[in-house]
Amino acid sequence: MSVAVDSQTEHAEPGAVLPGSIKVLLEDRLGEPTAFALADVAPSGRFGQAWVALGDGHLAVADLNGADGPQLRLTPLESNVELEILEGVGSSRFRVVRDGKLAEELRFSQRQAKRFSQLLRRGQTHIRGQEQGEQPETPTGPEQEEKFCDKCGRLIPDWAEACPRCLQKRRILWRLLSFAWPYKRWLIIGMGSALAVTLLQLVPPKLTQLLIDHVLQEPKPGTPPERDLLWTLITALSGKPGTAHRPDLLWPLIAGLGCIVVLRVGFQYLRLNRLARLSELMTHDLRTAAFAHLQKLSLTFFNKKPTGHLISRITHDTDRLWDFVAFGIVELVMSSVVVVGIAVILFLEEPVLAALTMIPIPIGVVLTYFHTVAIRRFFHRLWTKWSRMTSVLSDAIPGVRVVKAFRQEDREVARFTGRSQAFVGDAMDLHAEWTSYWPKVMFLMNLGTLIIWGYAGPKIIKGTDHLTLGTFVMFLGYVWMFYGPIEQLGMMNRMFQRAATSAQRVFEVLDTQPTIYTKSSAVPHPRIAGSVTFEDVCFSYDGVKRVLEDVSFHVDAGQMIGLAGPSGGGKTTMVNLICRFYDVIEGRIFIDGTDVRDLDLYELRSQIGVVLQEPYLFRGTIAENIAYGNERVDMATIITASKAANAHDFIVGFPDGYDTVVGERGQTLSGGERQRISIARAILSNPRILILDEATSSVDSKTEMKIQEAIDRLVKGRTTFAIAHRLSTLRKADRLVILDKGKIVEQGTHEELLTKEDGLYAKLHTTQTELQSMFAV
Amino acid sequence: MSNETEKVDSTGCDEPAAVRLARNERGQLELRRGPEADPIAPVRLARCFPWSLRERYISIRDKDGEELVLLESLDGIEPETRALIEQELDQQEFIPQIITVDNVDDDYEVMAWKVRTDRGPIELQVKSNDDIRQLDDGRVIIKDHAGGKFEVPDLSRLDPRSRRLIEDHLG
Repeated sequence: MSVAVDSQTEHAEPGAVLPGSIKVLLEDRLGEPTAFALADVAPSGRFGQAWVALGDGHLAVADLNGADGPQLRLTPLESNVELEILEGVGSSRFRVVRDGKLAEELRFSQRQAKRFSQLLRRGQTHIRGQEQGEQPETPTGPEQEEKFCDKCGRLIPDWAEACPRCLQKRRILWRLLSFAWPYKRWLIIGMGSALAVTLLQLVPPKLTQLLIDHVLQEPKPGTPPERDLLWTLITALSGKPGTAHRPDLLWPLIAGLGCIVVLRVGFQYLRLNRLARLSELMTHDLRTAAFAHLQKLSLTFFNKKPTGHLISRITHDTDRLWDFVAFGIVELVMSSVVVVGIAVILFLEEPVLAALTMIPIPIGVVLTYFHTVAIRRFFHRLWTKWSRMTSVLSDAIPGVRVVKAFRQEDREVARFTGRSQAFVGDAMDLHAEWTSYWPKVMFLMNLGTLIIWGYAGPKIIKGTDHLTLGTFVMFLGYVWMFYGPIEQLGMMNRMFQRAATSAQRVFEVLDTQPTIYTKSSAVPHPRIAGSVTFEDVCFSYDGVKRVLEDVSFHVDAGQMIGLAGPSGGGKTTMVNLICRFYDVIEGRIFIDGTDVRDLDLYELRSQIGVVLQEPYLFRGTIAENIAYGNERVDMATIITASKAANAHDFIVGFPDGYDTVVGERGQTLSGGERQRISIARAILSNPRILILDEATSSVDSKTEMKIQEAIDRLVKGRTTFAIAHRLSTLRKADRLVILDKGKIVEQGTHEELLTKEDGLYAKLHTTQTELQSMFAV
Repeated sequence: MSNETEKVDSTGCDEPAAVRLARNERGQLELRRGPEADPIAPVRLARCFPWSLRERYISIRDKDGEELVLLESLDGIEPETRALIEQELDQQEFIPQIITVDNVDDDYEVMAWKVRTDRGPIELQVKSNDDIRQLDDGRVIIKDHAGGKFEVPDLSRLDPRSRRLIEDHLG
């Protein structure tokens, strides 16, 4: 059975809005619900509806899956109640256990999972509050969710803030044009030339008509010459107004035609040249503005959007906009002007013939529209098949040794042949489509010609009608001009669509405000001492799963802290928060007693040095990489830093020494070498707070010793946070902090922690020493 | 090294007849490995080959995901236990099978798919063509925005229109 859908919820994503009827039902018993979720799978396994809500100390289930109307069941949230979610494949179960007995079990699909996990958290907080006899706290923190459009109910893609479907395309395109404004002179010249080209294009057939009817032959008796505006104008200019037959004007009119050709070519040049250059500059502005803004944005933004998408916005999308501004808009305007202009001329001459001539146009536009849609479909299919085919190549060619060793040559050939055949199959469909499109359009155009012949021919032979030979030739001349515009107008919809989407994607970057920024009230702190305090810090990347919970500790300036514990415990998150790549959602972090959010972001980061497990080297020389972030240092300082990092010797060993180019396509360095370069970088920047994230893993033991030596030098006098899995490297730490599942489980020195036999650290340590002694044999 | 097939059952599958499952008052599954053994609860079930060999190799695991029992097949299992396993697997799985595709709105990046499934009609929001994948055996899996999966068991047996709509959007 189904429940009448309220009009306001009609477009919302299922589960996002409580239907009115359910709301009434619940409010009766609970008041305004504080949280709710939709269990959208019935016990039978079909889609169903049961609402779970919290309010007034109760958990309510409004079950609509039964045959006899909605049922309401209430469970008081007391300490004898447990809530749990049992995760499954595609659907999970929300369970309420009361006094050790299963009281409720509700199934929900993946799409309701986030709301249920929030509901679970709130319910559990409430029950905990009851146990401790306190007021239940209200959970805070941002609850990020996928957003759905209010108007159409569709999911808003994660790159967009507003629904691209419902956003006003026109407003975006105006904004795009505002980027052209600095180059308005070129814009006006380009647009003006485009208009001139179009209008000039309309003149020759008309002149041909006049040449035939008034110059080459005697006009038919009874045709008043004043009927034609242009002819009246020409005769007036030549000093004999109103004359019908003027063979003497042959050469001037031919000259006129010539002038038009020259002018058209000139204007065409101006149009293409100015607009192409204009849009190049404009997209350059857009591109650099987007990239500059991107650099300012917080890491949260980068986490939400995959790198590839961001790169394509700065390259692909701006390129598409270039195409649109340089050619798209103008082509469209010109096409419309041509169609309207010709229509006006033709209707003024011969309304009936004009109407007949224009019949093929709407047909052609519709034909083109469907053609572009189909072509796009076929191209997509082809593209998919193509990448399936090439994936065999990228599998089999680099893996050729494995292929040969397992004698799989024939299988690989068969795989490739099969996929190539699939590609050819779809390619045939594509060729069938476009090869049949052009004949259809050609036929339409020729049909236009035939219509003109069929209508005008008999009339001209009879000579009774006012339809002249010149008009006939003019019509033939104009009919071929519809060709281009038909194509353009058929593609119009798609072109606007694409340009507007691209523009939105670029503007989106420009419009995002960094969530982490320096407050205007920031205290200047040019030289920090380096004490760090965490006070009840909670953090979550997605707003649902907490990766740090109530973490508190204090580090004195100059101390070294080792962070250890199982992966996923929150170690890296902690150092991310110290760097203020993210802001805490609860609690505070102090550096030298000042909340990090009150420090100047730039100053803060300039005093933090980071050495990562896989150091990132930019494309450039080794010297440039060491000096990254400290551009104005002399070579002597670079050498001192490299020596301290134990990097000098191997660097000088390269043929190009410090000028060796590294990074993408540069000299390949081993992990240990990269590591030491990044240590040199950290030494050079002389930070007050140092972060070592797994700095010595994945190198052989001899290299490790060298790195360790370098690190020991680096650590001196700085507050250091060292993350390590290999616990032996943490022995020198003043204190160890052991994190597990987002909480600090142990703290103390190496020796202190070893004495706790049940402690996590002691366990980890025993396992590792055992492993080492096993391999040492 | 010899090329002969090992005679030992290297998967280490358990003897099915001794395995007993029951549901306790909390609704959890309880495992007993033999009549005398202590019950272990809660346990969870998992298929080893959810796509290619659904009915075989069912793993019974404790709450930390460590395997307690591996069943090679459900044959020879005590009938009540077998019924419980089948019921539980059915409860924890939810992959609707698409019967017809009524409409695909793909004007914008996020597509809206109106489909009819064996579990009832539904509209899916699909983020990109990458979420529509064909397996080598001809099945198609569509993933919605939340990660929910929908299956087309055999593309070639769908009505032509539905098939065309899916083929046009395969990623």
